Amino acid sequence: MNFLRQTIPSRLEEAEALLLRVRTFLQAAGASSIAFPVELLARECVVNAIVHGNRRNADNSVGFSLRVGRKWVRLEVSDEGAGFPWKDTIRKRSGVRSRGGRGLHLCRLYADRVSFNQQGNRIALWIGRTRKES
Amino acid sequence: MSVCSARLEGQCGVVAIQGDFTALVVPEIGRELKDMVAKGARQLVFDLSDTYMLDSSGIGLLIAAANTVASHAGSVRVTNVSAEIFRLLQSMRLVNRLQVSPAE
Amino acid sequence: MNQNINLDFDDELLAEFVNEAREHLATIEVDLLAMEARGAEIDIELVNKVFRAAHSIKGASSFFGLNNVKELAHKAETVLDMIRSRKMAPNAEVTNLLLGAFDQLRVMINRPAESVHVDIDELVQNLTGLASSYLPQDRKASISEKITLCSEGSPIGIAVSRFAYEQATERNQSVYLVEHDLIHDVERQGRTIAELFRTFLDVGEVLECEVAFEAVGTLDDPIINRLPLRVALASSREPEALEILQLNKANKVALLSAPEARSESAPANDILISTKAQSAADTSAPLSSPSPEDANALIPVSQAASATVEDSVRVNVSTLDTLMNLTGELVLGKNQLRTSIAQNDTQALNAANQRINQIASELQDVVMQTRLQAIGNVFGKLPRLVRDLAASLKKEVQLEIHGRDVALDRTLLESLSDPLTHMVRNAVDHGIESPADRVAAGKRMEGRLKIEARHEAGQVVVEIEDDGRGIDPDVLGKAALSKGLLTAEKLESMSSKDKMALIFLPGFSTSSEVSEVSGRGVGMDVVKTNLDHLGGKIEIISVAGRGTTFRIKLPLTLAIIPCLIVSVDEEQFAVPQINVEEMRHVVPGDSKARVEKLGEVEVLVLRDRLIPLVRLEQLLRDSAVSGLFSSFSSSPESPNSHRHANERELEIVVVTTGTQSYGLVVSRFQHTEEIVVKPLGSHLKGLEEYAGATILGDGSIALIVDIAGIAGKANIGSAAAMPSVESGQDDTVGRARSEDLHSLVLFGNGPGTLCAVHSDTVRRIERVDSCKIEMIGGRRTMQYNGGLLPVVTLADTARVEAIPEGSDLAVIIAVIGGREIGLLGTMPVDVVEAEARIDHSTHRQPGVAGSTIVREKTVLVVDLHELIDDAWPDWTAKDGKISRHSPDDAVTVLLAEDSDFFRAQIKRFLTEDGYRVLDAQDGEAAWELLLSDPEEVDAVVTDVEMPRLDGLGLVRRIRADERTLKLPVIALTSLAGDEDVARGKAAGVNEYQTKLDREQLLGCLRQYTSRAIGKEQELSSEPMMA
Repeated sequence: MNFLRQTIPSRLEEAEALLLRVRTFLQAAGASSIAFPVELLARECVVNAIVHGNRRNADNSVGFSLRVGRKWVRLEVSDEGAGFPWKDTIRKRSGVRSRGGRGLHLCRLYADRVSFNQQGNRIALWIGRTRKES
Repeated sequence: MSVCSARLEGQCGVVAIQGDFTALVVPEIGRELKDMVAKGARQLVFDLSDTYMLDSSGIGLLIAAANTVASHAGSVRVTNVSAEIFRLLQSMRLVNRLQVSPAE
Repeated sequence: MNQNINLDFDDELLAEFVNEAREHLATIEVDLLAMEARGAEIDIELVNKVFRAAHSIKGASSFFGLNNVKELAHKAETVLDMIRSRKMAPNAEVTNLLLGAFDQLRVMINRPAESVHVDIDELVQNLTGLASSYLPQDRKASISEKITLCSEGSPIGIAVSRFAYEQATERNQSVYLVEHDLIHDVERQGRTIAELFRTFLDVGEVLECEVAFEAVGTLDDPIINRLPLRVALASSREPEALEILQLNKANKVALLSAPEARSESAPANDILISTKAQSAADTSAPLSSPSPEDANALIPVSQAASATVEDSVRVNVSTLDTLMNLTGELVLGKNQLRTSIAQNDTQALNAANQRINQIASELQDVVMQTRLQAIGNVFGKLPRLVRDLAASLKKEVQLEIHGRDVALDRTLLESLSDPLTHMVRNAVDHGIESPADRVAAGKRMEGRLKIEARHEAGQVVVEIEDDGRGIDPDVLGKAALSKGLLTAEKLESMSSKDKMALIFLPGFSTSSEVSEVSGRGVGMDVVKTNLDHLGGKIEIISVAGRGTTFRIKLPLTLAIIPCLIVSVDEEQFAVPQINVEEMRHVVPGDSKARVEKLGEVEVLVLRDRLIPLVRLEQLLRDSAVSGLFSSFSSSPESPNSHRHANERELEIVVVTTGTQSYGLVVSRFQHTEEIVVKPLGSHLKGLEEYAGATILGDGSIALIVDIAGIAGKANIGSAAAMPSVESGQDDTVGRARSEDLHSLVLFGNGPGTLCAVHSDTVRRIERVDSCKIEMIGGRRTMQYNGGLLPVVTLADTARVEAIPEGSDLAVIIAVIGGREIGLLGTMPVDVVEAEARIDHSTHRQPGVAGSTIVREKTVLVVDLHELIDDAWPDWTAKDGKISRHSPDDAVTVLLAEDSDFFRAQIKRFLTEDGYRVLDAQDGEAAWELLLSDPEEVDAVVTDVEMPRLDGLGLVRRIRADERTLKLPVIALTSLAGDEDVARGKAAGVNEYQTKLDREQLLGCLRQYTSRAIGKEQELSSEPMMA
C-alpha cells in the first residue's frame, strides 16, 4: 500500500508544493487513470481548508493524507477550523445518506464516498480506481 | 512572466497557459487578462495545450473573463483542452458558454 | 454563439436527467387520457401528477442548456396549471394538444443534443393560444409576459413568467430566490443537480431557474470561484421550513414576495418586461379541434420516439446489495471448494457443494428479478392506440386492462409488444362492429375490449377479448380455400377447431379489403411465429356473433428451465418439465396402461385416454442428424442398448404441447435437472425437433427436445398439425398445472403397497439389480457413482412388509443433511400431481407422514427425514470431527447483527462449528439478551453498524459492567480503516474482523474461547463436595 502524509501551514505556496508531490506520488503509484480527479479533489480540499477552514491564518496547519490501495484511493484533509454543525442539518429524505455539510459539487462528480468527522473540519474521500474512461 | 504567455493581435488576445491553471497562479493571469482587455482585446482565446490541471479558481477566472468581454460584445474560447479538463468543464455545463474545444 | 453540445464524452449528469425525464413521460399518456375521460370532474391529484412531470422536466432543463425542452415543458405546464386551478377542462382539443406536446418532448429528451434544433414554434403557439383563450381579457397577455423579482440583498433580479407568478399568488405562496453554488457547495450535501431539483419540487414549484454567470463578476472584481445557480421558488412553506434545503445562511434564500406584502397593484420592486408577445389575433382566437387525420398523424411520432436511446434497467439498490452479498458468499464458497479439493475432504466438499448450490439458486432468483419488468410497460401505449384508432374508424370502444403488474422477462416483453399491438388493432378493426351494426345485433353501442395478464402455473397468460362479431370457422375455411391455402378435401376433414386455427396461415385476411389502419401485410402468422420463437403458444376461442378471445401463453423465463433428462440408447435428452404430464413405465398386464396398435399408429391407452406414441429413437434416427448419434446403430437390437427382454415394456414420457398430448418412448428416465438453455448452432437451427442444447451436471451434452416440434414432425394431432382450440379435455390439463397440487413420486414397496415422496426431495431415480445392494456392517449400501450410497427402506422403521426377493427394484435418491441417500422401492415409479390432501393420522408411523389417495388407491407418504433419523441416528452428526462440546457445556456466543442475511450465515457456521448461538438484531436486543444471563455467554461477536445501539455502544456497555467486562468481543465490519479500528479498540473491542471471513472468525473465536473452556474444565475437575 502506498501512503503519503504531510502537514503544511496555511499558505497557498505550501499547498502547491504538496500538490506537486501528490502528482508525482500518484504517477509512481501507478494510478494514472485517476490521477487527475484525485489531484483535483486534493486541491479543492486543501485550498478550501486553507481559505475557509483556517481563514488563511498561516499559523494554522492543514493535515493531509493520501493512501493508494488496490481498489480505492483514500484522501483525507483536516484543518483547525471550528468546522460547522453539519449534524444539525435536518435530513429530508430517508433515502439520503447524511454525508455532512462541507460537500463539494466536484466531490459529488468524482468521489465515490465522502465522510466527515463530528466537528466538520476533516473530510475523507474515497475514489474508486476503476473509471469508465481514460 | 512564466505562468502564461499573452499575445495581442488587434482585437484578439491569445493566452497560452504554461503549466497548471490553479489558485496560486490565477491572480497573475488575471492581471495579464485585464491588461489585454484594457489594450482593446475583445476576443480572448485561452490555449490550454500545456495545462494538466484546472481547478475551481481557474474556472472562476475563465468565467470572469467571459463576463468582462461580454460587456464589450466580445467572446471567449478555450482551446486544446485535455480530455480530463473537457470532462470537468462539461460537468460544469460551461462547454458552450466558454466555447471549449478539445485538443485534436 | 455556436451551439455545439459535445456529447462524445460520458455525461452522467445529463444521463441522469434524461432517465428521470423518461420515467415521468412513461405514464403521461395514460394519465392524460384518464383526465380526458373525467372531463369537467377534474381529478386534482391526477392533474397534479402530470403537472409535476412537466414541471420537473422544465426545471433542470435550462441548467443543461436544453432551451426548447424547457420552453415546451413550460407551455405544457401552463396549460396543466390552468386545468388544476379549474380554469380549463380537459376536453378532446386540450388533450390532443397536450398529447402532441408530450410526444415532442419525448422525442427531444431522447435526443437532447438535437433538441435545440427542433422547431417547436407551432406547438408553442398553439399551447399559448389555448391557454390564453381560457383567460379573461385582462389576463390574456400574462402568458407571454415576464416580471422581474428582486430581493434586498441581491442586485440582480430574476425574471419569471407573469402568469406563473400570478398563479403562485392565487395559491397564497411566497416566492423565494434560492442560490446554489455549482462549484463549491459549501452548505449542501454534495447532491447532484437532479437531486437538488427534487428537493425543490418537494417544497414548492420552480418558477424560473438560471445559471448566473454574471454573478461571478468580471476581471475587475476579486477573483471568485463561485458559480451560482439561481432559482425562483414558489412555496407555501415558511422560510424556516426551507431549512430542509440545508440552507443556513440567510442570503442564500431570499424572500422575493410574500402573500401579505401583495396588494392589487404590482409589488414595489417589479419591473415589467415583455418578451416577444404574441399578436392579439393569435391569443384571442380559440383553435378548432383537430381532425381525425391529425390524430393519426400523431401516432408515428410516438412510435418513432422509442428506438433511439441506450437500453438500461433500473435496479433497486437493495437488490444490488443482495447481489454483492451473494458474490461475497460465492467467493467464500469457491475458497471452501478449493480447500476441500486440496485436502481431499469429501465432507467439506459436500458442504461446499451445498453452499454453492444455495448461492447459485439465490443468485439466479435475484438476477431473474432484475430482468423482470411489468407487462404494464407494454400495455401502456394501448389506450391511446385504441382511442385514436376507434376515432378514425368511427367506432366506440371501451378498453379494460387488467394485470399490469404481471412481470415478465424483458426480452419477452420486447417481443410481445408487436404481436400485442397487432392483435389489438385487429380487434378494433375487424372484431368490433360499427355502432350501427352493433345496435342492429342487439348489442350495446360501445364495444368492449378487455386485455388481461395473469400468472398460471409457471406461465404468463395474456388474453385479448372482444365482444365483437366473432370468427366463424366456416367463413375462415372458405376464405382459406379461395386463397388456395388448402385443398377442398383437407377442408372437409377439418374440425371447427382446426378451421379456426387457419387464421395463423400466412397471407390470410378475412376482410375483402385490408384497411390501412390494421397494417397491410402483417398477419396473424407473424404473430404466431414471433410467439413460437419465444416458446409461447396462442389459442383462439370465438363464438360467431358474440366475440373473440386470443389467449397467449408465455414461459416465465427463457434461459433456465427444469427438465427431465431421459436417455435414448446412450444419448441423453432434456425434456422441459413444463411439457411433462406423466412418466410411465408400461408393463404387459397393466390394466391401466397398455400399448395398442391402431392401424399404423401406436397408442398408449392410459386410463381412459388414447395417447399417440412417438418412439424417440425412431424419430431421431430418421432425422437429418442421426449421424451425430454414434450409438444409434443401424440394427434395431444393439448390444449397448438398455433393452428390456420384453419389447412391450416401455418407458414413456407423456408430454403436452399445451393443447396436444402424446407419449414419447425413451430408453430410460434419468433424473430431473435445471438446465441452462444454449441455442443450437446455426447449422442445426432449422431442426424442429430440438429447441436447444445444454451441458448437464456431469459434463455431458444433452439436446433439448422441442415437444411442439416433434409433434409436428411426427404428425401428431390434426392432419395439418396446427394448434387446436381448447377443449374440455384441456381443462384437466390446465388444472393439473395449478400450484395447489403436490408433485409426488410414486413407487411401490412390494406388491400391493404404494408409497410416495415429494418430488422436491428427489434428486434421481435409478433402477437397480438386487445384487448391487449389499449389507456392510449391518447397514444397507449400494455402489453408486464410484462410491457407496447408503440405502434405507420403509420397512426399516415402519410396520410394512419388507420388499420381497426378486422384485424389480428402484432406488430413489435424495439429499438429506447434505448427503445423498437412497430409498429402496419397487417399480413402477411414476410422477404424478395429486390434489388430494394428506391424512396425517390414519397411517401415521415412524417414517410415514401420512397417507393420501391417488387414482383411487391409498398411498403412504414417506417422511424421509424421519426415516433416516430413525434408521441412521448419527446421520446428521459430523463424522471425522470430534464434537468438542457436549450439549451441557457448549460454548455460547452472543451474536449481534442487523442484516438478516449475515446473521443467518454467521449463526449457521458458528453452530456447525459446535457453538451455541444466541442471536440479536441490534445492540440493544443483544444487551438485553446478555443481561438475562451474563454467566451463560462466553464470547460476543458483533457487527459495528446497527440501529438502536451500535457495536461500539454495545462494547462500551459490556466493559462498563462488572458482570460482563471480561467478555471477549470480536467486532465485524465491512470497512476497517485505521481510525475505525483505533476507535473500536479504545471502546474495548478485542479483535476486528472483516465480514465475512469464516475461517478467520472461527479461528479467532477459538482462540478466545479456548481460554474459557480451559477455565470450565478447571472448574469441573475440582473435587465435588459431598
